[in-house]
Amino acid sequence: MSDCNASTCKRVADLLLQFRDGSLPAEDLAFVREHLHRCPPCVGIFDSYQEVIDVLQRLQPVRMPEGLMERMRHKVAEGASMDDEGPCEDAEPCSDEEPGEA
Amino acid sequence: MSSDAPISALLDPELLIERYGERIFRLARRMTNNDADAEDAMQNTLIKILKNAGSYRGESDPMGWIYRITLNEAREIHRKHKRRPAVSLDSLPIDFDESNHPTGVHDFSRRPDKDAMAGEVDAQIREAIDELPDGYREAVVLHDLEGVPYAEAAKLLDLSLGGFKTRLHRARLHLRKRLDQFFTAHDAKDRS
Repeated sequence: MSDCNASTCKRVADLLLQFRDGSLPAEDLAFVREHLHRCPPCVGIFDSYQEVIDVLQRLQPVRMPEGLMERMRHKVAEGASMDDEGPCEDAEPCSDEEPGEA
Repeated sequence: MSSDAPISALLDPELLIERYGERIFRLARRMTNNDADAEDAMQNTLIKILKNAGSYRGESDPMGWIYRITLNEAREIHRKHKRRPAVSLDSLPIDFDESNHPTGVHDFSRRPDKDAMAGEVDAQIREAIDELPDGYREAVVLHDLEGVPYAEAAKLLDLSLGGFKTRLHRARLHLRKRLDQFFTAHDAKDRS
């Protein structure tokens, strides 16, 4: 691990997303591959990073609470009847071009 | 985010709930990690859509607009009811030891008991997502949980592609660190 030091490991850690998704330029790809051959801790980080993505993809789907849609129909109807002032002042822009922040 | 629903569905509460309700709730639930908060965010989102749909001038598929409103509503409610302080991700969430190697690295991907511990791991990862700063949590939820491609997710969050990937990467590394700590603590408990 002669070339394995914090700055090298840190650079490799920075590139792991692109290494995984195949978007690294050839030069960086060779650098990461070479480093992973020499640095078991960075291999551990990469493998467990991949595992996190697998866990995220395996997470249980969101379950819809019972009666949710019916409750929403009532709440939305109540909300609409209580407020007839027109578009909210803090409403999101009505276009995809200019996103609003909360 | 494709949808074959016409924009007229945004004007009709019944159609809106029928066509988009599940996706709105799912995103809000992922963002808030709580059913009651997700319902509040969903209600606010639906009302906001109905109020503003008449002036919607966006793309023919309104899902991006709907996602954006949902994210804003869920973010506001999550901030209001925040259950965990957000971690800082200004730097890479990896520690280095005195000899300059990454330290505390536990490659839990090869554990033989990982399937048996899946329920605990799921709970840990949900908690870890919940403590991410807003923009980082949104990156993970949109891309890793909802499957929104990089470019679309970056646009939703007003980030460059590179900026989005940086957030997503740091968020994932934080989740990795949390699972690493969880397994380390689990093993220490088993030994004692």
